[in-house]
Amino acid sequence: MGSLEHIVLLAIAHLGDNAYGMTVRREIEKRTGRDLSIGATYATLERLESKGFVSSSRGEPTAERGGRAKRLFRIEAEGEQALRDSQNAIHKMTAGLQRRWGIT
Amino acid sequence: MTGDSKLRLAIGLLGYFLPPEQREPVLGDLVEEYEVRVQSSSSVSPAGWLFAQVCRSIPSFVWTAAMRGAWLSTVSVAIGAWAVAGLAEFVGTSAISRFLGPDARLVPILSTIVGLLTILAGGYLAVLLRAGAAKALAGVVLIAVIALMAMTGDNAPLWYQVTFLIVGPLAALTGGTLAGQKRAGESRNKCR
Repeated sequence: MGSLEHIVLLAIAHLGDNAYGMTVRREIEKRTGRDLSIGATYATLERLESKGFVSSSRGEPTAERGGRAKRLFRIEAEGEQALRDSQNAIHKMTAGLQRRWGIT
Repeated sequence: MTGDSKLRLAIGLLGYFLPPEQREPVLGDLVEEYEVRVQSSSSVSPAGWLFAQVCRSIPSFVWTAAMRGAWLSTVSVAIGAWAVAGLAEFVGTSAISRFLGPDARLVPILSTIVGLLTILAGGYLAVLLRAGAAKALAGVVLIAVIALMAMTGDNAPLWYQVTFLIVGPLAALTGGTLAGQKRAGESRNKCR
């Protein structure tokens, strides 16, 4: 899993039932300051869906979207497992480095 | 330009490059976030954000569509349509030169018209064979014209080359749009 896929998957995990293109993009911007384009966000979401890490469903059309429906994303069991594996790997690899980087 | 017209332009521009199944959610997201930004006091202007998003997103969507697998056949159809258009242009311009004489003043103008019409027909043919092939044809035309302009041996007048550089790709896209409308009309009739 690439770093952007990891970040997008974590954003979906934070957003729960309200994860769609715009909220995913804004969640990443709010937490990391990274200004992703809508195109890059959807390209990553598509990749995650093709790997079976997330699934998508059509939401209801709303007036603030000009009557357009949302595409809602949710994490699947494989996605959660991939996140756990990735977090474990990062935890193991960063053990002992926190002090050098000034992270407590 | 008002906020509404900027939004309409951005939607039209981005919508053109989106696959049909992504059009509704992506454009909905764009509209929703634009409205949020209009109502908030952000340091970045909503219109600036909107067009930056459109410009940054188009390459991603084009790349994703290309990687979805159909790109090779789409490009092949575009090159085939370009070859057919080139042949038709050759026949047309040869006939004009023969009829009027190669040095007649009207020959370059009529050749330009014939050339652009054959590219338009090429775009039409390409989309009848494969949806989306007109965009690939527009790219092929653009690359071919730039290559011809770069070749020192091409002694066509500059206005002729610039016309094909700008109007050539647009003619391919127009032909594709016409064929798309024809296809959409046919499928609507089938549904009735």
